Amino acid sequence: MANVQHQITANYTAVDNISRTTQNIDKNVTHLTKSFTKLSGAFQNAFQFYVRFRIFGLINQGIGAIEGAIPGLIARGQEWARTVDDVADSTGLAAGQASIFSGVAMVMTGNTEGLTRALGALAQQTANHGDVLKRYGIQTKAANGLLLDTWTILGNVRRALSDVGNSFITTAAARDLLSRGGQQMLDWLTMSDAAFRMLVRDVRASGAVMTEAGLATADAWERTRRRLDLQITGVGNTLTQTLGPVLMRLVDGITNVIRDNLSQIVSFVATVVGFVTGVVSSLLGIDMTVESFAEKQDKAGTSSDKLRTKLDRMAQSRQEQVKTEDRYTDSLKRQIDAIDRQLAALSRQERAENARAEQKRLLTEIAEAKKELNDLRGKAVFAAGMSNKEAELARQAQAADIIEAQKKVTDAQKRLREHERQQAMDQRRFELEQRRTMLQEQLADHMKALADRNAADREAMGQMLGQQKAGFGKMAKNIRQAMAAGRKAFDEAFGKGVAFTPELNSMLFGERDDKGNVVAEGLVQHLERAATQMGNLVNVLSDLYDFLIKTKVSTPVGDFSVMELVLGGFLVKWAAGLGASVLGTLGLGSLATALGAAALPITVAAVAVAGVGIAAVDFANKVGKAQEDLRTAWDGLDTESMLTKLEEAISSKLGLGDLGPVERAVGKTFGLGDIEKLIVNAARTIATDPNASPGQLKTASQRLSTLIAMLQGEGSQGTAFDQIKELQKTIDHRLTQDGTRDKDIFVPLRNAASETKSALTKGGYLPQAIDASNRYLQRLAYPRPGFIWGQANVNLYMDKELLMTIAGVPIAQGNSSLRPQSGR
Amino acid sequence: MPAGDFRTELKGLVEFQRGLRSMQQPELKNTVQRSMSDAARTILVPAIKSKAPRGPAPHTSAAKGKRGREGPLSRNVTVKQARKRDARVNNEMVSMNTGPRAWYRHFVIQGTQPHSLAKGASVRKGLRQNVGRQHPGSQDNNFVEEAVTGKNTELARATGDALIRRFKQAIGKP
Repeated sequence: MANVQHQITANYTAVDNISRTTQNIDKNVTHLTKSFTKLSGAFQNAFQFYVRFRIFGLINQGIGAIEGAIPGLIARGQEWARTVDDVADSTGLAAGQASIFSGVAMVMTGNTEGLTRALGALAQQTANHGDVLKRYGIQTKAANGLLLDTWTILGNVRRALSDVGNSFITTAAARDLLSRGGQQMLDWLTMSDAAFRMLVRDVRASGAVMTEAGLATADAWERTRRRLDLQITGVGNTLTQTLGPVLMRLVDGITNVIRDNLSQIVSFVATVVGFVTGVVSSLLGIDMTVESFAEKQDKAGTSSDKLRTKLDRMAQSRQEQVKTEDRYTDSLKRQIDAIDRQLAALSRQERAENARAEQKRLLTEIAEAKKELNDLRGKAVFAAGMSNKEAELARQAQAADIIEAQKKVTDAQKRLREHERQQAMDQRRFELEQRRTMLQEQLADHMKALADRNAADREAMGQMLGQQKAGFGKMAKNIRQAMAAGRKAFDEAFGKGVAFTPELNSMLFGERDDKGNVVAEGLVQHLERAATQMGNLVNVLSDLYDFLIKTKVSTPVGDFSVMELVLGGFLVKWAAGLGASVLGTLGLGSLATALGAAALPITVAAVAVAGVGIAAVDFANKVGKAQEDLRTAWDGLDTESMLTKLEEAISSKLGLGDLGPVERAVGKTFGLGDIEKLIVNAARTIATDPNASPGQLKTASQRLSTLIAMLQGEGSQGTAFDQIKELQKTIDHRLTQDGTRDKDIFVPLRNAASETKSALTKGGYLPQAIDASNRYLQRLAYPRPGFIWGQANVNLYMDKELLMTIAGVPIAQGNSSLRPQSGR
Repeated sequence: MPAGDFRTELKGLVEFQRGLRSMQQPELKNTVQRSMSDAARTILVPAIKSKAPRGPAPHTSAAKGKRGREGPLSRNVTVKQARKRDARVNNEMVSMNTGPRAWYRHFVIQGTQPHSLAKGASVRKGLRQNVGRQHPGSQDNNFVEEAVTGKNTELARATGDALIRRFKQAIGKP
């Protein structure tokens, strides 16, 4: 309000300082709306599918099914077996000895390349240079003149080399001895006994030492694997075909959404930044160099097609943007500091008192001047005795006095007006200070309101993701429990501690050292690791959510999150901050207060894109890595049926299948004739036949007893012999059971299988399905070996469903029989 | 985030723009003018009326302590739009004045000098001041100034309140 003239009427005017600014704001708002509509459409199309809850449900259901462990494990074992076999063949060493040498070479040199050739050459050389070696104390022949076995000779060489050391190495004999590849073995050939023994212990503990049976088993595995390569069944296939692509699409989709829409995000954000800074600059009269910040954002957002390149550029330009932000922030701070300085200098109270005194003085002066004027007006010119001329002069003099007095009054009134104007300015300054404080409080309140309003959404999302993560931990635990329960059942079925051969045992449960630490992973650990891997993916997705929610970026009008920007948290923060400044120029501070109190439900989030870019680069890296890890797991996923392989492995390992290893072992080691082989073969067939009669079982058991007694008389021992004994135990055990116990075994297993299948058919979660099966497995008090093997086989078959079914699609749907189907 | 379709919304901008339009010309001028009128009527008019001179009070016990009969000076205090003087220079948007609407108000406010009451007498023209009955003149009584002095802040606040009310109506807020 200006120029208040208090004369005949009270005049006052309003000055328009707001129209131009609000018109600019209006234009920017229209631009903002258009820009947001485009962005919103893009996000809606992109996210519509990917952010559905069922995607997370699928992840949770399908977590336990990564099967890559078995092929990888088998492949490693097979490769090792081939190495050992080669070494054994070329040196004549036994499998165990050959694997020790291979293990030592692996430890010392990191590979076994050329080991076969080297060892073979060394063995040959020791034979050719026996006399020379003897001079160095290296015995190559026994007392009876026969050549010692390679193992002993090599040991002698090693001891001699470690004792003699370099003096021997430089000799011609040593050069010959070690010339053909022996050099690579020099490190361990020169080891002392103690060191070598320690190394051998390590090699044994690593599980790399193979027995003859193990080598034979490796052959069987290889045949099995080749056969199974042709089969495509099982959850692994379903997993790959259903969850895999969905999961890939999910991860790809999120990455793509960000990448494809980044330019729109950036351009929208740039628009918002420009809008806010434009308004602020026009109101506060600050030269907003931040406009170039917005332009840089716009260029960074639209200049590249690749996400990483785009984000990298944004990250690179952050240096400039930070400087620009700092300049703007500094500018604002300077403005505020300037106000502070002015306010402090004003010292309002002192001024108010001075003002009142001044006003009083001016009023007094005006009153006196008026009084003087009135006196002059009231004074009549006493013209008696004067001539007309004199009287006229007197009157003119009086008129002049009156005019002068009037002028004094006018001047005094003018000074009073100026004083009041100054008062008004002081008042405005005071209102500025109040408004600034109010602004800060309103900003804080508004941020709190925004945070509170979105807290429910964030909490819900966080809870959902938290449940997914917890699900994976539980999944891993359930896998362990399921495997432990199965192992317990098998242990009880086949006698304590002899459920599987060492190879199968280690394949399933891993190798442990004396202290119980896992030194080689088995299937269980691989499955657990797979579950963890999937959990890591969910963690990355959770990081995405966190990135969207928690990433705060400072803006001129407050801190906002990217999620608030993206998911409709767009509001225009105008009311208190900008309006107050505008209206302050009109002296209408109360309007600002009222607008703030009205809490217009609109604010705009101006996001500094540089900050978003930095966080987005980190996130893109994480997503890419998770994607890569997942792909590696999926690529390694074998579509073969785990159960079928295990079935074959179990049957071959226990000699209960095609009798390959047992037959070979028996034939090789004990020299059994065909009749003995037939006995074992027949016994195995009967032991695994659930319908075998007690008479057949008894006959088989008696024959095996006879065979075992014969073998024991020959001093037989070894794995194959143990297996024959176990076979008899199996048959004997079946003989001790009667049909009345079926209901204790068969029924719980069938119930477990049914319930599991039912849970999965209904789309139940994997952990629940495993829990259901465990409940029944734990009830198996006294399983029957032969029959339980049949049922356990089925349960293991069902276990396949438990372990590897995904997305509620159980394997063998529609199979009501509990017996393995032909061809599996 | 609800399971299901994904939507984004930009809320409140329509209302905001509505409010913005009400703060731009020509709507702003009308809004401010009406607001200023309201404020002046609320604050200045009663103040001027209270200070305006009145006739003598009746000499009755019932009228003791009360003010006399009011005349046009107190009865006809109005608020009117005034002519803008420096519209281009000072960016004046609205100009108003409030005061008593009686033809003789300037006599009362500025006072008069002694003058003749004779017919045709004119102080301004200097006619016939020496004839006829003389009026001794009157003292000035700038009751308007007295009434409105110190009311700037209050007037501004009232104008703001009125503006707020109108802006809220414009954006549909209660």
